[in-house]
Amino acid sequence: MTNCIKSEFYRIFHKKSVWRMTGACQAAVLLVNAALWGMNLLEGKTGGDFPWATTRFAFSLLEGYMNIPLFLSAVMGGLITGDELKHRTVNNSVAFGLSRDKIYLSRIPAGLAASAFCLLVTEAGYIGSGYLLLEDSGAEYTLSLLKGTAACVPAWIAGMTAVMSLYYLTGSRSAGIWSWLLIMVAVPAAVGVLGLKFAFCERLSSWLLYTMVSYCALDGDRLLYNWSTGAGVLKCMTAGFIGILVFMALGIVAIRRREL
Amino acid sequence: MTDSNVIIQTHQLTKRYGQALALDHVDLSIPRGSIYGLVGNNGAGKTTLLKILLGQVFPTSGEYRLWDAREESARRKYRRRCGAIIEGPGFFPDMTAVQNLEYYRIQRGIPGRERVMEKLQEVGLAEAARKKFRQMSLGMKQRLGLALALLGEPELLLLDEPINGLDPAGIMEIRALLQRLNREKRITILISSHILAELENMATDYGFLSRGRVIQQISAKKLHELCGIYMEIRVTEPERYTALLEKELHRTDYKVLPDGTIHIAGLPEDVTAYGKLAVEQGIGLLALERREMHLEDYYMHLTERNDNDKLY
Repeated sequence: MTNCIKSEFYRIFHKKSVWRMTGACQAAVLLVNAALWGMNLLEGKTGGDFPWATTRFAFSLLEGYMNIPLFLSAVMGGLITGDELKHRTVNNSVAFGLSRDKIYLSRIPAGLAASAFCLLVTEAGYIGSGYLLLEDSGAEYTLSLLKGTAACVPAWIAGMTAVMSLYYLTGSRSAGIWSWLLIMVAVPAAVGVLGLKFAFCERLSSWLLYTMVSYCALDGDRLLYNWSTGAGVLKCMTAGFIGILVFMALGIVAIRRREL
Repeated sequence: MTDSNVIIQTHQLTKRYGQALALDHVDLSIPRGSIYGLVGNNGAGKTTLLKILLGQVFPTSGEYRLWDAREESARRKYRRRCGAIIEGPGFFPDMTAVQNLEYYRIQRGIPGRERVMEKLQEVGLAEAARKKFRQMSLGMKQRLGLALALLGEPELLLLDEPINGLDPAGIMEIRALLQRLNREKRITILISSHILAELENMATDYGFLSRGRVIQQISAKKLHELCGIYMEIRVTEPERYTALLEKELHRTDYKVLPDGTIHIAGLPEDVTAYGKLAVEQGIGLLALERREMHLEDYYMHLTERNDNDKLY
């Protein structure tokens, strides 16, 4: 198993895609802060007021879109599997006596490392450039963003595990991604709508990963997220870990049954 | 043949894909130390058989053993001693030859990074070591596949049409390499091809597959006895003539076809004696000809017979 994990690390960090994705995420978040800074500068020159060039606004913006990293986790999962069924690289591993369970499970730590690297670099860039370019609104907004990130990490891992499992289940990358969108986005959206009418659906919806990371409510002038309370953080993490276990089990069943 | 001399054995191995029968109760024995040529047309079931042996595809029924292992977990351990190319080599397209091999070297826990370059040199791919897989020609890809198969110093090689895409010089080179590995390292090689001639002068044993069935297993020696040059004689009284053949010319290595045509292996020096024998005994001599049976003709003849058996 250790050798399998090592080889995945070797592969992932020798491929340009992880670096490219990290670079793209970094560029996107830097662009957001640079745009806020630029607009503030322009407004200042014309004597206007631009109240959003603050770390409060910038960090809340990312915190309010924690579903974006969920989508990115699916992309990362796709990069990890590397279309190995199409390229038949997994066939070699099976032919050389590796167990299918090990093959699947070894992808997860490697995927985690790549995702963690991407996330850390992106978030560090966002927070760093925020402090550098924008008005400091205080540490509480940074802490809230970090707390939100920590609470959502299990959900993102579950998202990555899901796309890998669905890839082995469906046998193609595109079918895997479409199934992922159906299970992770369309179903929670539908359950959320049904929740307006049925209490059970409302309760179920609050445990579904996509709804959980997207939830946001306004309390006076403050935005409230699922992770705004201690119990909420626990709920996010519990749902995330349940998701990881469910999708991991699905992945093992899928790879065991897949003919190569 | 004792069990210890057989490295692979299948028993009634069957594989169905929906309604299609890819393998039909296949019984096969691969002798240890042999170069076993698995010959069959496209769709005969060669790749399916190899995929089953390598754990990539699951049989519908029947069983098989690798070495002495019949259980899947035990077979998996033995697969670590195998090298394989199935359905063309599978590699990561954006990684170089070295990176691809290094990935599998780490995965399989094979010690020594220098092994990767050694294997690339062995298959004549050292110069393309830094080339990305997607930029390689088909011949280069095949060589890389072979390098991967050899990476773990295997005892058993399973190669599915490994010389596809190679130029004539490349074919000769790879053939020589496989023969050397078999001779010097006693590696058993199971090699499939749809062209019998590709395996000629290399295989020590053959298995002929047609429409998912093994139609014959034969040693190369026996096959060459059946093929090659022979004499074809047609007479008015074949039974009497063959009795005379045995009595007067002491020949027992003949074959009488259903239409009475007699085949005698080889071309004797005194061909006239065979004609004279018929004439002197008052048997009408209709034809006496030198014929040659090529391996391909033999195989075609076999598959036709199998197809007819299936039809009627």
